[in-house]
Amino acid sequence: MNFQDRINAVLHHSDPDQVPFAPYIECFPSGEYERMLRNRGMGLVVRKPTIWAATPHVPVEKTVEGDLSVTVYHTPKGDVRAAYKQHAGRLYIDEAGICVEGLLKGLQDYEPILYMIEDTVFSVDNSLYSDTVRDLGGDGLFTEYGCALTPYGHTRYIFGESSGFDKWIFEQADHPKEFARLFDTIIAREERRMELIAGSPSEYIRFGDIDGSWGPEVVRRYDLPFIKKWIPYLQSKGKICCVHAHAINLAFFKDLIGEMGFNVVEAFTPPPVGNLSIQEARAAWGKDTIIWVNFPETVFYQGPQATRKYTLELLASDPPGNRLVIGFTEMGLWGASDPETERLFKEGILAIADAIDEGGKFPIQPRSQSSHLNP
Amino acid sequence: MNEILIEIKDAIIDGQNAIVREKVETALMQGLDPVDILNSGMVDAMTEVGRTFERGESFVPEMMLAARAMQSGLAILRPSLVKVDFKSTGKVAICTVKGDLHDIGKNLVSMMLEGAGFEILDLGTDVAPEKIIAAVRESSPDIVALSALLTTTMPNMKVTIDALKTAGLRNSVKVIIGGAPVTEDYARQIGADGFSPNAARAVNVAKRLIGKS
Repeated sequence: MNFQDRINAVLHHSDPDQVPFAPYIECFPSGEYERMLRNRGMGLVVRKPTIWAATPHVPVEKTVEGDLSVTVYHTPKGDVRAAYKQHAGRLYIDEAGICVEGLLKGLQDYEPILYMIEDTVFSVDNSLYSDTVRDLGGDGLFTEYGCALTPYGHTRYIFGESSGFDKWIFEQADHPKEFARLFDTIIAREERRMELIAGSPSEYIRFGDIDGSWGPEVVRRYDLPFIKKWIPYLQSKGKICCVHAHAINLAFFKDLIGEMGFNVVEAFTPPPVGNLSIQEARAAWGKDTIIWVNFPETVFYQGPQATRKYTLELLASDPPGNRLVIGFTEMGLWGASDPETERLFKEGILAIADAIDEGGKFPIQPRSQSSHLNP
Repeated sequence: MNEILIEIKDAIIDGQNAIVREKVETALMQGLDPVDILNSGMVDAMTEVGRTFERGESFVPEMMLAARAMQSGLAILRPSLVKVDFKSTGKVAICTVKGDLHDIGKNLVSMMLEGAGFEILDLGTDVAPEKIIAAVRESSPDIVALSALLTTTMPNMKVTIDALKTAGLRNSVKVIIGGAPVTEDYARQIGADGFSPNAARAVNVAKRLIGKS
């Protein structure tokens, strides 16, 4: 099997020849090291949108202020601006930078932002899909990324994600009516987006995330109704839907995830970093749910032998291994800026590939579980 | 416990800013000891928030709202605490390590420690060891708390600990570490004195390290 056959076997509930090793493409600077791993069966997961958004009645002005990249949106209801810190390290090189100033800073910003949301027009452009699928061949998987955020997740980004996190939390408590209006307006926009997502040429769709910062009751209140409406619809159109569940306190969300009905729980970070083991998750979600592991890179600091041993135990904890994928969904090698960390990570990633060769062949035999895999 | 202290505690747990301010003012007018207001009303509230957080019954938003409510009460209470020469539980210099710009975890730990009566010296994010060493020399904290969100910036926790050793300051402060990818094994591996998997438990770890638990 090539990588594509292997990952498709897992996604289509068939049997792969071995557990797929499938990190995000961003987790590996392209070049020699990535090629070596691909020659050993690793595949690349590429996340790109086929749906594009524009606000035709909102002129956008971009300027640079020192090391900040500033975007000003001129709406008929007033201006709003966001700022991004440039040159913020290797992690942010290819993007606008890290957001240091979100759009919504006070009550005066609601009207312009609501206008922008309502003014949003979606269009379909499948060129990134067709180009990527052609480039990857049998070496990767395309993920529709046009609906990566839930409606509630979108509200957070309007406040600036990390830099606006406290403002986002306080605003919900201090101005609940305004926040509810913002949320409802986003819902209406996202309904339009999801209709288009259903027609995406990509079979594999990522929708939303479980962050872990806010609790299951908040997710139930804001996102679950939307998920319960759209995930079955997408599945009825032949889509395979995944949730990015990177919370390290996932044990608190175990039942909720079971209710959501996703085909794939991705970014699953097992102990010693996360607090939910694969065995506990499997018991809660059943044998058909695909668990896509975000390898806990902290293990790399114990050296390649420990990484290999950990990976073998991880594989053996989910026999027969036909609904399991191992990857990196957060960091991988990206961001390793000092030579020693880079060396440890490269050796660790090779140790994972070795361990999959050794203990990841289908069907995996069960064996006793190490305490390292328990929360 | 005095009724108004219970009301202060409940209002903090519920994140009710304005009510906390009002109740603290009332408690002071009623002649309650400001140290009692702090410990029995406010610190107890944050301890309870920490407990529910550990159990997965409350999450970051609830913790932040409670911390903000505590802060607003503390602003009213502080002048009275100064008058009675109230001493903080201890002093903590806290930062996110060099190369890491994330501050949510650091801020949560700061809030919880402050809620437990610690004095906080927030050194910010992306903080080089030299700046931490300067802060230790200048402010003599009891504890240096280091945060990292990125797996690839965790080594800068060790770099900082090594720099404290080189500067001859390692024995004058305790070092605690935390952040999403950080584990207890890693803390042991790099020679940290303590580790906390979350902001709530950081309070107990800090108190234990300075003999205040």
